Amino acid sequence: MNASDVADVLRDVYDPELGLDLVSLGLIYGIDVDEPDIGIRMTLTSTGCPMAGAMLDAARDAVAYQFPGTQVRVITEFEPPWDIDMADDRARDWLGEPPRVRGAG
Amino acid sequence: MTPGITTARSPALGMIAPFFLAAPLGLILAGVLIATATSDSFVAVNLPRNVAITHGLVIGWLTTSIMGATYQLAPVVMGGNLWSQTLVRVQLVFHLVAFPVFVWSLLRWNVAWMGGAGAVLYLSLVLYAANIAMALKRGNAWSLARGFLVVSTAFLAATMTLGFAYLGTLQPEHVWFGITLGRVSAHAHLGLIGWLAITVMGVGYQLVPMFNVINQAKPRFGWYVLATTAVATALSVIVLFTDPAAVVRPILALLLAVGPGLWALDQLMLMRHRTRRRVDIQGRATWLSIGFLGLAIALGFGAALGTPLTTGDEPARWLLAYAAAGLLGWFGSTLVGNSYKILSFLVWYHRYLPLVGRQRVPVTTDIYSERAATAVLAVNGVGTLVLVTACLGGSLDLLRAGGAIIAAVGLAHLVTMSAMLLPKKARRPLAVSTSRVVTS
Repeated sequence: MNASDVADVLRDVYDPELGLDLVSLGLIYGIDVDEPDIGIRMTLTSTGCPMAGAMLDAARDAVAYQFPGTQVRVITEFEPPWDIDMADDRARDWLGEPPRVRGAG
Repeated sequence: MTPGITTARSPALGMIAPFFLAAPLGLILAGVLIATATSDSFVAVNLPRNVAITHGLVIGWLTTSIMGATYQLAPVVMGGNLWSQTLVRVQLVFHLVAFPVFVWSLLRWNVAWMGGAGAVLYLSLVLYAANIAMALKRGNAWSLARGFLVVSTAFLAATMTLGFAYLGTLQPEHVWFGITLGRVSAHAHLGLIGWLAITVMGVGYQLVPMFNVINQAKPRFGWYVLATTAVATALSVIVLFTDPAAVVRPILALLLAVGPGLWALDQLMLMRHRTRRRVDIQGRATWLSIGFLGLAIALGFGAALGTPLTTGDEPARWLLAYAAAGLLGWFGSTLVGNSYKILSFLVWYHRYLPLVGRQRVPVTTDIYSERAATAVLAVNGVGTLVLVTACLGGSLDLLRAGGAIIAAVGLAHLVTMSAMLLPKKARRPLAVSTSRVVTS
């Protein structure tokens, strides 16, 4: 099991309001795997998000369910604050944002 | 051991959903009463049928929806648990038993039954206010929404107490003081601005940034909106109670419009900075409600000027049009839009959150039909405009048609809200994220 496997699990954890998964939204800042410990650093779309507890618990619970015997910690980070530029193209399209300009600069 | 998911801070679905399912009954009732209106409806605002319709909308439709929303939002958003969930259920029973009897007693102008049903309603609202006050007190952080809810709950208590005093003075053996049109207006504006408007504006400050993913802008006027609206309402009520001269009323109307006007500017500015460019039902409701707020302010100012639209003996037209735009347009649109979001989230939270990671679960747009919700919102807007036109033009036929539309909106809202409680399947495609995750 590695960080990529954990990310795959988080791709099926959806923000129920936005209809997008945590990875597509760019909410996952990092995954640290040191078996049996798994650390997930994630943010939220806003600091006052009332779903904060639910989303953190959902991420932790989903990973712990898929990798039995592991200790999963979810740490929230608000620096840097989440921005739409952190979301992938599919998420941007879903939210109605124009796609990124490729090759700029 | 698999860690459990904490759902303790969200009130039970079975506690909140009945409020959202009962509220449309008030809209249906009011719609039926309007659809069966008689030709004297435009003569005065304080005719029994007009008073019954207003209370049907305010207590049945709007207040019941707001109760459900705040019981849900106070613990989740403001961070404090309710005092007692059992009390919520008891309160709902009192409310649902007393409300139709109260509206019926107003329609029949049976002052004895008005007193009895009014007393039970008063008890219901005291229980509500006590529960919410406790949740707000227990919250750990001050926010705009919390400030607005504290003030609006105080205005609710004042509205109910004044209304209860009116019921007392109406009893033949009491007759403490006369209920003049100014005093009717004082009670009405305590409820409309002090209770409903301040609640709706506060909820807007909380929900509009949240549902539209607005994190690049902050409200500019929030606390000013609260202060100016609260002061203007208190001042207007005191002055209206004395039946002021005609020249004073437009000044009061302007004062009352300042806070909601600033709030509308704030909401428009926030919406400009939304990340969720593709608006959903809540975004559409926000746009529509702001439009109706503008209409209500214009009509309210016209009503305060006291000039009938046409010569004749029907001076209530502007006031009735103002009430329709405010109650059904501004507040109604807001509540229709937010009801679908709040209840669908609650259904997801209790039924599907515990299954996340184990199986594909529905998201909130799988739980309600965006198309049906938008249709309900749109028809509510059409019905409101028909009623405003009917009132301004003094057309009884149009008034009845508007009432029928509003009753149909209530029924459609009830059906679509009830459908959210049925089992749902996930409709979204499998995750195909291409994002890179930082790993170490």
